Amino acid sequence: MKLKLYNNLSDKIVVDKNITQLGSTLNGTLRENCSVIDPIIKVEGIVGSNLTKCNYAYIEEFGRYYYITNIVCVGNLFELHMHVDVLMTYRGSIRSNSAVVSRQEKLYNLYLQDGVFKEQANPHYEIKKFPSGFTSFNFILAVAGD
Amino acid sequence: MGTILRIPTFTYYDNNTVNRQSSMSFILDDVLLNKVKTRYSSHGSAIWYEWSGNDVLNIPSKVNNAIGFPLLSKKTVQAILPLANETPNPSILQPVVSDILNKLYIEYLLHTNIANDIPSALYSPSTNTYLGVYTSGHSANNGYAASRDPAGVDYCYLGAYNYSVGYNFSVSNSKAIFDLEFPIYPESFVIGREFNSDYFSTGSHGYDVCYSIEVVVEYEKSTSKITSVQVSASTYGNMYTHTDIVKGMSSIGSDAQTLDTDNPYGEGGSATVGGGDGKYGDIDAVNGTEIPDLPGLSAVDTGFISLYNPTTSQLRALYNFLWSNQFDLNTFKKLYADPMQCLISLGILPCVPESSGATNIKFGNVDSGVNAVELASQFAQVDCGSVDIDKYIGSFLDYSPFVKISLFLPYIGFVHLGTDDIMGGSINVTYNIDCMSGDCIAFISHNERGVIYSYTGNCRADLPITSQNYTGFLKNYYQALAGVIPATINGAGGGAAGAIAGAAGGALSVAETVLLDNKPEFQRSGSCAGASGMIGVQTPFVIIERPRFSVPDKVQKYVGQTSNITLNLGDCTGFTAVEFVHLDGLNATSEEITEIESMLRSGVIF
Repeated sequence: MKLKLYNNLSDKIVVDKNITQLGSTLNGTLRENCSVIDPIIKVEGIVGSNLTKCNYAYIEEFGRYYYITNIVCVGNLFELHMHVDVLMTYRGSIRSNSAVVSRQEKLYNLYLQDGVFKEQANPHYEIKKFPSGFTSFNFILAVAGD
Repeated sequence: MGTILRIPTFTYYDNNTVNRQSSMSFILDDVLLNKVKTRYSSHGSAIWYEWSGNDVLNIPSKVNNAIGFPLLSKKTVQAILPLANETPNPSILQPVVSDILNKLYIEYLLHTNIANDIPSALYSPSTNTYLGVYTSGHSANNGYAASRDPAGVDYCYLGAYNYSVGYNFSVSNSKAIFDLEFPIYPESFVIGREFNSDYFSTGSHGYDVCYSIEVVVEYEKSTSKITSVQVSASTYGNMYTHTDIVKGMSSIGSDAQTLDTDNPYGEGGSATVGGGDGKYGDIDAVNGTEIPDLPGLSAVDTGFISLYNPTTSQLRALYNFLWSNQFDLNTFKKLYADPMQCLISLGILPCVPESSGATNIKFGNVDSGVNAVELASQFAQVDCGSVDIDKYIGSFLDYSPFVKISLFLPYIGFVHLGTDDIMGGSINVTYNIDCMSGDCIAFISHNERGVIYSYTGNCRADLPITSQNYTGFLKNYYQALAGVIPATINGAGGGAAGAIAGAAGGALSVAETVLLDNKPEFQRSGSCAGASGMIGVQTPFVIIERPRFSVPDKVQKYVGQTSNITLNLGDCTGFTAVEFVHLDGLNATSEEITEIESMLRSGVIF
């Protein structure tokens, strides 16, 4: 089994993670039951900054990327607790789908009501006069006859 | 789609021993049913029962209900014929002579197009049977509904099968369980006078050419009641489910059948597809109304009344004339008893109708010598011009309930306009005025939609000349106070509702983001009619109240903007949150797919 350790600097909601591999690919053998979704892998030999920066992984046999959620030292081994990063793993397939998008950074319709906005208590007032109105007063006398 | 050729079906169940026919028959074809009842109405002790509606023995009704498709006729008949040496008893099932029903079947074939289409070579007059056409007296041959035997002879089963042994066949002292099968062939099964050879091939499973509804019936002997009817899930190894049957029926078409009457809301129910029958015309079509022209008829046209627009000095001159010796009272007395009868009214208005030229004022047909402008009409129009009501952003924040618009109209007061009506355009205010009464109507017209509002008021200040018309002056004054009512306040309390309705799904809490806009609305004026209008504002103006919104920098990167567009996710960049998605093509576990959907709904960054 091939395991690659990475340093991930991206937020978990980012699909394409900004990852940097730490050290070389680790080779090993699964000796116990191991979840594909939440694997726990015992690794030896992670040293220095590789240990402090290690927060992401890829297991080639599982074909998945993982967040390292916890590192537990067990003797001279490091037990890496991982959870699958579904976005990075399936990013190609996700992109091939379409969806009804409710919010988007670039493709949007501002005429749809949006509850995100906050409103201050002091509104703006715009006052416009019409160009003309009643400008003069006149006597109007009505008398009988022509 | 073609129509279904419904083949009448009989079936039997074996009462005690293998291959022994019973008295229970189900005739599902209306034509054959009528022939049977007519021809054999009194055969021995034959008793025909017709089942329908909620009758517990209405098996086709139950089948229809089970498959959810109005496939089978609701009419069923039970033929109960006694043995030769037994007293007929309808509560006891007794064997029936198979020949009767076989003959009925042949007779049916002869009297229907089906018979005409059966190749004559298949008919054997000597035995009065059709070779290769088996009625229900024949046992099923490995379940082939239509096939070709090794000798190359095509045959088909026009009817149900006599199950000597079957998947669901059992008999006990108390009850019998047996299969009923209703094969339905497509119209193309018979072409001209020939069976369609496409349906016959050596060794093929005949079930491929028809759709068979297999029903397992449980019959309780002691009560002569059918206690259970269930649509079977499989037939002779072809795993047709009733869903397949319905699909098959849909694909090859079906005559509409009358549904059974079990539905308490009426036969056939009332649910139906609908909608989409709009004309899809021009939804933005506007045929606006223009500001009306002034009436062509007025009081001055009658000759009974003359209107003048005197200046102050001319009025003084007229007054002096009335009290001078020049005023020939004797001449006047010939026409009037009281000179003031000639003076109908004197008022002050902020406008003047069109003039017909200057002339001497005739007072009771007595020339006063006072030259003043005579008016050609009692009506006048004053155009106050237009103002633009511009969007500020070009978003929902430019419309109701976020933006409120008030308009002050001289001689009327403040009115509230619908923001959605006028935003993005310009509005014009034009008054049409009746100078005799002082009544005015202000038209607010939109540059694209025409007149969309009108309000009435009064712009005349009557001048009391005599004690009598002073009383009238006061009356007018009080009426003016109660006259004009401002327009309905719009947008009150709407801000919160609108904002809540548009809240971002899952991104932020509504309570955290929206300032409740429940501020009270205040009336900006009372009535401004008549004399009070004269001393009021003479030019219309509009007050636009817009929200002072608080939008963080680069908010679209954090929560995006409202979209509601079907997009290919591959075309999205930046923050994206979906409302509806069906994820296809993912080689992921169901747990992973659920997590992906959840993350897409709360928002991801591509």
